Amino acid sequence: MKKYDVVVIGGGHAGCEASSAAARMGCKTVLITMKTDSIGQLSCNPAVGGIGKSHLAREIDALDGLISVVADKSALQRRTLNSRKGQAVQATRIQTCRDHYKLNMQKALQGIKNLDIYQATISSIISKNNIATGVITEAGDKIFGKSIILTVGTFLGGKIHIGLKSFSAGRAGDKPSIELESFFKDYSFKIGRLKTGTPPRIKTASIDFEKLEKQNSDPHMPKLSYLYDHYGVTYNEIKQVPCHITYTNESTHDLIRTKKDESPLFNGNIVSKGPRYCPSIEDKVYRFSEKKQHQIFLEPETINNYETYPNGISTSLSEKDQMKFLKTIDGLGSAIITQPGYAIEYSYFDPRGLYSSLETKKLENLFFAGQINGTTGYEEAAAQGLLAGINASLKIKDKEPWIPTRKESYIGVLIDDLVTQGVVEPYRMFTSRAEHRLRLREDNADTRLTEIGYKLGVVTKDRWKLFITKVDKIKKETRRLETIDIDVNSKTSKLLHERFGLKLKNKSNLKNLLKMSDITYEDISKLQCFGITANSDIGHIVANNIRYEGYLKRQDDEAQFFSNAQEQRIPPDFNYDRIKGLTNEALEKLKEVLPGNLGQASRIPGITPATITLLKIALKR
Amino acid sequence: MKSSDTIAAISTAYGFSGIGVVRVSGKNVSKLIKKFFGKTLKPRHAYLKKIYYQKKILDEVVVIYFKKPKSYTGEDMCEIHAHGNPVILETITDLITSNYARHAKPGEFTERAFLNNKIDLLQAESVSDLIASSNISAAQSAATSLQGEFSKHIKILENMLLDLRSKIESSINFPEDEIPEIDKRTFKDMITNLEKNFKDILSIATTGEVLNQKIKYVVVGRPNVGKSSLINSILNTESSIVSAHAGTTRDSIRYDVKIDNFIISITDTAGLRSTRNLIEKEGIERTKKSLSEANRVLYVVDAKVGFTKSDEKLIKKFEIKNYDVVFNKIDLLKEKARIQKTKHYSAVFLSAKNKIGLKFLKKIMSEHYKSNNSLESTVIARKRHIENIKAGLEQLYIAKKHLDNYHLEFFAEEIRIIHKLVSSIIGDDSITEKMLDKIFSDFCIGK
Repeated sequence: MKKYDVVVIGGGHAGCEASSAAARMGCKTVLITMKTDSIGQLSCNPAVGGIGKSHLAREIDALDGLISVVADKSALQRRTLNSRKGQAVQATRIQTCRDHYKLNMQKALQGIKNLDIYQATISSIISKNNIATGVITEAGDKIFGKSIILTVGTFLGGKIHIGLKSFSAGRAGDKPSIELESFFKDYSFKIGRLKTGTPPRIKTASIDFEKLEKQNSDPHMPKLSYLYDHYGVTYNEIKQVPCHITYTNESTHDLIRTKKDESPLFNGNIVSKGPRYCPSIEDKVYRFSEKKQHQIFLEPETINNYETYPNGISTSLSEKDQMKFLKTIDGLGSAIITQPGYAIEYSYFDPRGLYSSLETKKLENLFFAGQINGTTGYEEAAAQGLLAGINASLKIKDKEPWIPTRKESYIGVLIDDLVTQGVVEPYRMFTSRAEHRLRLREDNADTRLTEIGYKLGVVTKDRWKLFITKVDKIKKETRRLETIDIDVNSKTSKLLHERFGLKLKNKSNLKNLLKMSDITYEDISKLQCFGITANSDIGHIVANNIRYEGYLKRQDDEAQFFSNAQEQRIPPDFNYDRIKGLTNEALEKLKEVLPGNLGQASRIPGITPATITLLKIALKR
Repeated sequence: MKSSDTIAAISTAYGFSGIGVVRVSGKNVSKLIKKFFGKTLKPRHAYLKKIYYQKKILDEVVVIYFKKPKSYTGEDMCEIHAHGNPVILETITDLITSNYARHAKPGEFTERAFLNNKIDLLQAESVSDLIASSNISAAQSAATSLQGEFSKHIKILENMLLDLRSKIESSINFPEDEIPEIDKRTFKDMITNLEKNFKDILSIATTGEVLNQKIKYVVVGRPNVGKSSLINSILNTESSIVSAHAGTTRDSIRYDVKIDNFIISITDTAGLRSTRNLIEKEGIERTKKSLSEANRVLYVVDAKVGFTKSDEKLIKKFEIKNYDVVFNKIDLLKEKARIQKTKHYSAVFLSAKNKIGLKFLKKIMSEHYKSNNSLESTVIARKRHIENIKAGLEQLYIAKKHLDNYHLEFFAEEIRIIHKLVSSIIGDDSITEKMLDKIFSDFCIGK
């Protein structure tokens, strides 16, 4: 009989972060997966980061998680997106080598103390008096754990569609977890269905890149992990492989139009909702018929570049039709398909069945993380895995869960949205979802979270030391800028006027200069009075902190009064029935979501301010 | 700085009275006292002070400052005792809320008192009840404020904001999808347009006829039942006609009359009938409009004919709610003037021509006025709406500056706040979802 502190089921992005976080926190942990070889597999496109997503990845990294480090070590192409739209909405994206990613992830897990990896298929959860105590494998073995974290992605009730054919599967080439799903059905967990899709993979050698637009890494080689930019740790960069861009055209669209009846998306075979921000090519052609072309990013799958992932044309047409429409596309005239595209329907649990700690309301000590909560994306899954790992460990240690707030992180936004709103389509992070967007930048995730993580025990000492060094450098540089004054009549002052149209009225130091104008750190570093500085990355952060300071202060002032009330906790066993004057609708919603605090209650759709007031008064009583 | 945690409201009953009190509670109270009265006041002492509006003396008032925690709410508070004239009291409140506070929600002073332990547990029940009931009436008042032109403009405004935000946010969130890049010029035009709409709404909301802070009576009935003579007799007995002016319509004439301590507006309408005549049809459309804005309707019938099936039909057809029935011309029947209450309405028997029984009509009108605080809360609701619009306009000026410097993320942030301000007027806070819906229906996203 095996006994652990934390049992994690699933070796995807959520499972990897969950198990490693629990192990870092000193819990004896096991990661159970159907196939140890598949741990860390990127089942969709081979990229990590992007807008909203890199913000999550940076936060996971700030808590000493794995995804960013592993992505950096496996990078084939690196880009900064939105570089001209502002620091807070700027994002890093890394195209990775699938093979490297998987191996680096497995290596990282193998190097973690307290963590076992075990291959088995789980068929059921052991529970007693609504408390989960362990899992049973297909072979009938029992593995006990004080906390169980379920991260099985699309494997619950997975069903693949290719053209008119459909069959049960977890992901192409893997079995689904059917028995496990029936366990949860018996326990009357609220289960819904969603759908997602992938494009066909193409043999790279069969693509004619000659006429296609090529996209290389950005020259400054942006990184995802703080280790490799702000902390100055070195690593071995692997060979870079570029992406290419091509487009569909009218004949592609004509072909797809004639096959409408054979697309399971349109002939009624698939009824589940897919993501609107990632539609299949069929969807694009039918819904936006006025568009003459659709963009396709040809992404290298691995460093050997045997296969290419054509991002933008996920499809569930038959393989024959996929072949036909590919051939109409520039550069793909003689394309050879190595794996057909497919649509997959899968089950997810309504995340309103979770507390903000990601523990389920139905079974104590059982946590859900990742795609089974209705999200999509590696970073979203990883963020939940990390949080579930932290909270599962805290629970074992008899400590309060850590609930990140919307103001402090995208992880907080993600969790809060999930447990209060539920999902209607696969949930993906957008920066628009964060009302504190200007605060939640890529460059300050560590100052927001690393100290919290260190206190929780999920951030290792090594990482903490690196972080402290950076904070120190920032302080020093800020202080240094404060000491360099510019007189109104000095040469520098004249120069500022000529170059930036800036007219000094009073003596000003360099720090204030950054505050009041559009002048960048790079600009001031060229001034004669500037002197010598430590590191331009640090200078950049200093400048950002100064620039956003005023804005954030204003937001703080406005939010202060409300936030006090927002953070007021509501105990999970709070009796809503005794509140007088609530509408039935409000009562029903509150009982379904069981919000963790007043702020969360106020974000439940349909809950009015008056309801919150009543709740506030009832809580005080 | 305008602080959201300082609240102000008129705390005496609406209408004319000897004294009216404006209460303010929260952090900014001492700042406000200094600004308004030039110095700090000793707590719990009454001071005679002048309040100025546009550099002229508005009123001489008694001010009392309460230092926290020794006040009703437990926060810093200030009471301004002015003359009980609605215009004066409203102006004082406006002066305060334009800089130092926001309008209080119904029951909010009491709520704060409770949360700061100034009210004991026994009283808590009644606070709950109060808020629960004001919950309903507040929703109703907000709805009343949102009638007609005002709401149409708010909806247009929200759609413009949605359009603008979907363009900004799609460019931020989906830079690699082929979304047409918006240039500064287009954004600028959209902002100019928004600014104009904001200003239009402000002028509609503040000077418009939608809500004139008076209870609105509309007099309707079939032709020749004596509507006009009824109105004339009300006007003739009342020495204090405030004003008479043709409204937005040719046929509906509105009079403002002071009954007891309240100003009531009475609108005369064209007779109700089914007609094919185009000109008359137009008159009927106007009557419908007046009816939709009425707080209360006086449905006049000829006592000789009585209240018949066809009257019931007309009431249904014109969707008349909240009505009393006036049985006119009782002089011809030798009936006694009286009030008779039925299940659906109060019936008043009178003779307009001989001025018999008018006091009963007045009694019903003022009773209704006193028992009904919905008007007052509608005024407050509207004020909050205006507050949001003003704040939105201010924010728009900041947004403009960011656009000039092309700071897209700051620009986006200001527009988001504006969107939120406008959306909350309609009572819908799901701005992110609405915006995403718009993006996904307008643009083909999906790298």
